[in-house]
Amino acid sequence: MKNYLVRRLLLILPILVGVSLLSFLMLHLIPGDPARVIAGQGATLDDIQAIRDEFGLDKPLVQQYWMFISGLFSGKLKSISSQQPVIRDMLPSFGNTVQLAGLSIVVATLLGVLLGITAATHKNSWIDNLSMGFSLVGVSMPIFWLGILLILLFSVTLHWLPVGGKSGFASFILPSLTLGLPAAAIVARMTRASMLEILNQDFIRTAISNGLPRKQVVYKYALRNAMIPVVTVVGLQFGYMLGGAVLTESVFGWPGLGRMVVTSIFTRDYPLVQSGILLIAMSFVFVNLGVDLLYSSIDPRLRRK
Amino acid sequence: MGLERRSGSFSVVWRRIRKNRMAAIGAFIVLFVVGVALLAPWISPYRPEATDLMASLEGPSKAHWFGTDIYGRDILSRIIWGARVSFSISFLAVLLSSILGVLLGAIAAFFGKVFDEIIMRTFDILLSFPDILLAIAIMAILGPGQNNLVFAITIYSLPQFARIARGAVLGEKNREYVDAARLSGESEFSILVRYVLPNTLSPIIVQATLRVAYAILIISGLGFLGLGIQPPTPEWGTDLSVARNYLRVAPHTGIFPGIAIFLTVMGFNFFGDGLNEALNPRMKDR
Repeated sequence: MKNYLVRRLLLILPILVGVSLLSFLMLHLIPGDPARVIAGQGATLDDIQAIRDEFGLDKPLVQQYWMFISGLFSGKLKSISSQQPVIRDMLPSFGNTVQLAGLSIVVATLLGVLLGITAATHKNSWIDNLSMGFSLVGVSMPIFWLGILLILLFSVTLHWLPVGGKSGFASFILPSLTLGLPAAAIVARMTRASMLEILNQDFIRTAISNGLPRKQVVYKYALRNAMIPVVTVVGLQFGYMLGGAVLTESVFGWPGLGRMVVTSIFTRDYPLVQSGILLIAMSFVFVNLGVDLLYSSIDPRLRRK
Repeated sequence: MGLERRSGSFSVVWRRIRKNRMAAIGAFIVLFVVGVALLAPWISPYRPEATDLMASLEGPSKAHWFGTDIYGRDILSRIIWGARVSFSISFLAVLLSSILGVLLGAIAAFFGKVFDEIIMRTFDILLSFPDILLAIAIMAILGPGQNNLVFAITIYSLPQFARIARGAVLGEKNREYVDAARLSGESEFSILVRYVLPNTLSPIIVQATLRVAYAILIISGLGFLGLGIQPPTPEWGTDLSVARNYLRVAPHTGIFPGIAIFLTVMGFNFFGDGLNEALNPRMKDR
């Protein structure tokens, strides 16, 4: 296990370097002189020179890359609009995104696993058809439209829940449903397929023919084995949510990191855009690493590969 | 998988019919929406950009089946023209990314070693930007615009095509016909393009169909964020982001463009799944 861990950690190093390099290069890939791009229209030559100095834009790229990375973590890299260290601007928003994604993945897991098991144990019944219908709808649903529909129903028509913003618990409900439901559809599909495969294996048949209660066999023996691939899907979905949350955040005016990145694109606050994108990508890489490690600790067969 | 075999032929047959029916529904939706996109100039009742401030935010009526938006523009006409916008971008992007992605993936698999490492590690990095984030980053670099959107979606879809092509070519490259071609003096590149790639087509066609669905979701998502197609050009996601501000007074503006996205994406998903079963019958019980 220790070897596996070390190997796996070494594998993500080049990925992290690549991801940070791409985030850094964003500014330089924008057509035109980066200093002019940041300064915006109507900036004087002095303004442009000041920006060039502040961001070290006339230094070699390698040095600029180092300034970007070290500045990000030391707080020297500042947001253009707030003049605060980007890391200080980002952390609360990132926290909000993680809270939203966290609650959404709970919704997705509970609903998805429940639907998946029911569908598998009642194969080809109306429950199966209904839950698989739900999962087909879920993967085709534009997430921001789902959010709009939920607002129309629960906020505009029924007046039960707030339209947006982040206040009390009530403000979490619609955003986490929006982000969680499509993921629930995917989890349900996976759970059903995995359960069907396990339910058909010899050890389950043996358990049932030995007279063990069917419920116990399904929930104790089958479920535990069927959950292994489901854990991976849930983990991956959580990672995707960190990036995909931006749409939900924008529907509900949720003060998350994705929304901050998009707003910063409009205000040309490039340090914030670059660091925000980097932070989301890095957390995605680490979530995937976590999923891999978790997977191999549940399923020891994989470690030997 | 095995359950199918045990549970008798009736359920197997019924299952196939049900699945084929879904593929048929998918094909029907796809044809319908593509037809609407192609015929937009002739079937759209109004010009999509024609404003009429006297008729702002009107609900559905005989004159405007789907109502009007804040500028009094006919929502049905905007949806019809929006199909044209979405399709031209998504088809072009999927075409480009499938050609480029398949070629890169195939080279990685067929020539292996350094090629494989460089190409696949680069794609691993691109795949580390989750969900729509990669497209957002590219649009942040290039700025909004139709060509930039094609570029962003091409890059976004590349890794998937490369991975599938790589897997398929790895499965083919040690087959006997490849050795035979090599012995008869074919060059490596011509073996790859003339013999190996045609054998890997079916998963790629399936993927291309499903990728159109993703592309439409990303185009409308970027539009919703204000990073995609810019108003007044009609685009479903962009129109929904405007509608978001008037949900209380004009809920209909937030409904119809969403139905358009949803149905189109569902059509391509159903059709892609159906194709998958038709082309890869071994997979059918999964």
